[in-house]
Amino acid sequence: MKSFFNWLRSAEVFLPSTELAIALGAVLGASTRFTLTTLVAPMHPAGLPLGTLLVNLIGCFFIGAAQTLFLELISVRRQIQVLVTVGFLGGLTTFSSVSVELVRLIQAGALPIAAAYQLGSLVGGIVAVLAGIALTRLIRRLVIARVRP
Amino acid sequence: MSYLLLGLGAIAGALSRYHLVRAMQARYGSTFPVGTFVVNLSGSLLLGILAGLIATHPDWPISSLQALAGVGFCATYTTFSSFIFETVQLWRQGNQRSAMLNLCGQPILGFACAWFGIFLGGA
Repeated sequence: MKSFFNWLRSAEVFLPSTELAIALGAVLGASTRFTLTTLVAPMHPAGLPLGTLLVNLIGCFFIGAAQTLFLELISVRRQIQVLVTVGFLGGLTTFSSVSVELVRLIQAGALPIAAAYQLGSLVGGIVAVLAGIALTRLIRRLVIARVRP
Repeated sequence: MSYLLLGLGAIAGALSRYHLVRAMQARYGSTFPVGTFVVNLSGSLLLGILAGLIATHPDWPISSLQALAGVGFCATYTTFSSFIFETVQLWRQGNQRSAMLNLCGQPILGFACAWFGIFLGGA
């Protein structure tokens, strides 16, 4: 019975291949991005693309957290790793939309907004990655301190 | 309907990215993230072409095309999280020059690719 539950819990039952894991993560990530960007769509074409900025910063925070978790804290199956990183976070964040939105903003003459968007994405993204890494390491220290007082 | 098209585009986009990045890193495998670089530039070009085509062809099924090829394929094919994470990794590993090259190169060339794509698409 116990081995049955272990078998059921193992990722291979649900995720027989890396491709399937990435596909599942990508559908979840892209749907989340689509929903969020639709919810916070800018009021006018020359407005700051808040939705894309939001998903990219959230994705950066969680890639920092997830990579630190998988590399330093816990060992999980490769399928779970690629589901989260390559599939979900890769699908949640987008680079091409930022490029096209920047061209649109500049064509509309909204140079200050374009500059703020570009800088906000890059600087904010770096800060978000570092915050994800730092928070995961802080949690690790707290957990280790509790296990070995 | 739009979520179905979005999902199909997203699966194709993520799997293309995964295999292209793997192939590029295997062939030109260095510390520099060539794979993500190529994916993000080609994706910006493709999304630019799509945006140009959509702007000049109002009779096309725009919302379906956007869901499948734009929000679905191109947006999922490219990735912002890997781009920033790899930049931070390069910096932390002591490759500050590569990190700055990546951080400035991808957005500038991505912007140029998107602009050229919109031009190619006819807008």
